[in-house]
Amino acid sequence: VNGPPQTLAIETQRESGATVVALRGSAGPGCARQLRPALTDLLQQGCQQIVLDLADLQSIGSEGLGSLVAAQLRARNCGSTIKLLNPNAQIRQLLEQAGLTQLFAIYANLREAISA
Amino acid sequence: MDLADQSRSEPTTKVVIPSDLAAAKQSEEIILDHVRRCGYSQDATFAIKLAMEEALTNAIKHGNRSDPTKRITICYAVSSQKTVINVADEGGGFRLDDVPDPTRDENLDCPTGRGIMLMRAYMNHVHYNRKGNEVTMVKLNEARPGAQA
Repeated sequence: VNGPPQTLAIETQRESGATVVALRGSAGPGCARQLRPALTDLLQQGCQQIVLDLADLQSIGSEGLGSLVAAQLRARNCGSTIKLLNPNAQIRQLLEQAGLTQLFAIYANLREAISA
Repeated sequence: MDLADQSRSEPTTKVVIPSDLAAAKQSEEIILDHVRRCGYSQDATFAIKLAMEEALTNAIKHGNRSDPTKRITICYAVSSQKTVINVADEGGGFRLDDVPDPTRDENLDCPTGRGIMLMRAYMNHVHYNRKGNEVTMVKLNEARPGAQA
């Protein structure tokens, strides 16, 4: 949590049949304007497996969590799935506190996330 | 709970900002700078940042409904033992009992309640006034001996 305030950067790439979305910086207030349409677009494009790489995500608040939940529920409705990769210890604890580990599978490496 | 009770002899700073996320972020950074200089752990700093974001976002969006004529008042006291932050909006307030528990299966897609839940999970003490338009949060610097809520 050191340094100046960070914004959210979203970078998408294809990897072994999955869509890997790297979230970098901070998913704080206002992030839904970026995050929701980015994930909705991928689902509308027919991406069946989306892996959110959280390794470089420093923090996430209720708005970001709400965006992830909304995307996962939308994904389920269209036969897709969203998995989480490498959240830091603070974000993993936050996901547990928010009861979201029941909604998202969390993986430590990309190969495992894609093959699961 | 009164902020004066919480902060005891610590100097309290009062800031009034517009109902604006950018202004909120500026205030957050100033307070976090105090927190870092007082030697809080990374986890405690993360918790304070998260709770402040949630309290200020709730005040702006739900309390003042982003009305540019309404203000947010932030009072804070940061010491090496604890951080006390009070956020008040000019809205009509809400009843805490009416907020759904976002961790229940049936409420997972509910857009409200997650911010309050996170504040409660990450701060040592969270108290709303009777009207529901003012929240006081306390975080202890647990790395320091003698820190008490």
